This record gives sequence, structure tokens and C-alpha cells, in this order.
Amino acid sequence: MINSNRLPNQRPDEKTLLLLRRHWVVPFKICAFFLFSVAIPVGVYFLILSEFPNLLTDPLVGPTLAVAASFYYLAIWMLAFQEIVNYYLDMWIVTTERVVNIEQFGLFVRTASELHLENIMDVTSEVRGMLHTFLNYGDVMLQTAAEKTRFHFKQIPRPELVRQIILKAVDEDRSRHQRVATSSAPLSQSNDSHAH
Amino acid sequence: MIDLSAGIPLAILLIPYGLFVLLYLFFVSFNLYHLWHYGTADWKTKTIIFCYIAGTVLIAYASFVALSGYNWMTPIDLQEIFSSITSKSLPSL
Repeated sequence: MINSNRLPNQRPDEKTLLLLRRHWVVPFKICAFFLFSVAIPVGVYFLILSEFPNLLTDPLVGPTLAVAASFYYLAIWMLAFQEIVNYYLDMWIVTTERVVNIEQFGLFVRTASELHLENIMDVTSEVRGMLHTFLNYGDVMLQTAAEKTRFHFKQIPRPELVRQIILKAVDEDRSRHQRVATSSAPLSQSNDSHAH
Repeated sequence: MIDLSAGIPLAILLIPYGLFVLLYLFFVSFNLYHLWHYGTADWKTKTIIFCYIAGTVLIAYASFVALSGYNWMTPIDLQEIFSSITSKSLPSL
């Protein structure tokens, strides 16, 4: 299991700032679709009961419908849970040193990548659409020196706030690296003079 | 040549159903592995795993109750089915 306070290759002074998943509207849509799908056979059952009451007691049709119903409910439970697992395992972690991007695609594809904050050139947040605006969720894209946008936080809550936190973390990381560089520079110069 | 008058037991329907249950179990085991291995170490992962297993057990129990009430050895009279289909779709024959 992933522990947000003990990430792989974590530095001693590295702290987790954000652990992000998609907005709650994503699992809500999955649950709504699931409940709607559950209700369909119930409606069909009552329709058959009122229109063709003898059909359910037929020795051939009754068991066939029972098998079909069981098959159907297993299938929608499997599909709904596959979507929930995909939602739950997609996550983006922002620490004081790096950004970790973990995405699950279906049953057999999983990608995990990380980006050090010093390589981030630009952070863009985007809220597009009426529902996105009302519920305040959207995308955040991290641009590196490479042309392709590798880090894309999809449908996360409060993207503008996330953008500000990442920019602040990038600034702090740069100033920390500069401090380390300036403090180690005289040491390396003195080492060079000793070598000569 | 299949003897249609002998009839096939209704239990033949359970073969594709059983194959689907095997596929379902394959999916469940992979998803549970992913959740346990790659989920965050908190109550949320455990709740999702519990709901997944509870839903599966509930559907399995309901299916067992629904399916056990039938006599699966009832023969399917193919001749009667075919004659019924033929008379409905091709009444001139």
C-alpha cells in the first residue's frame, strides 16, 4: 500500500503537500449509472408481472430469466467497480521536492512517473464547463522544458488553489537549491585551491 | 445427428453462466490485488475492498436463492420450440 508520508525514495526532509484524486463528481456519476442500471430489471420484472404473469412461472422461461438477471447484475457490479478502482487508483502527489503521477488504465495498464519541482517551467489550471465552474473542479497541467505535457491532473477539485500551491512549492524548492549552491560554492573553491 | 425428441436439460444454461462467473472472479481478484497493493494505506482502501467483497457476496447469495428454486433437469423440448418459431414466422408451412 502507498503511504503518503512514506513515499518510495523519499528524502528525509521531504514532506507531502497534496494527495489528489479526481473530484467526487466522478464516483458520483459511476454510482448514479450503477443505480440506474440496477433499477432497469426491477422495472422489467414488474412489467412482466403485470402484463404476462404466467411467464415467470413457466418452467423454461423462469430459470432463463433468473440466469439472465444474475448475469446482468454481476456484469454491472463488475463494470461499476472497475471504474471505481480506476478512479481510486489515479492519484497525484505533490511533495516539497517532486510531483508523482500515478494512473491506472483498466486491468493491466498502470503508469507511475515523477517530476522534480526544479524542472517545472509552467503550471496551468483550467476550469471548463458549467458543472465544472459550479463545483469548482478542473485540470492542472505541468509544463516542463520538454514539448509534451506529461503531467496532467485530471478533474481535480480546486485547480486554481492547487496551481498556487505547486507554484509556491516550485519557488521554495528553487530558493532552497540556490541556498545550497551558494553555501557549497566557497567550499568547492577552497577544495580547488588546495588541489592546486 | 442430434436427437431433438430426447431434449436437453435446462442445466445447459448454467455452462455459459459458470464461464462468466469465472471471468468475474478473475476480474475481482485482479482488482482486489490492485487495491491492496497500490491503494493508499488508510480506511478508504479498506472500505472500498469491503464494499467490493460485500456486493459480490450479496449478488452470489441472491443468485443462489433465485436459481436453486428451479428444477434444472427439466428437458428443453427443442422440437416444440422450433415448431412454435416456424409456425409463428412462417405460417404458410
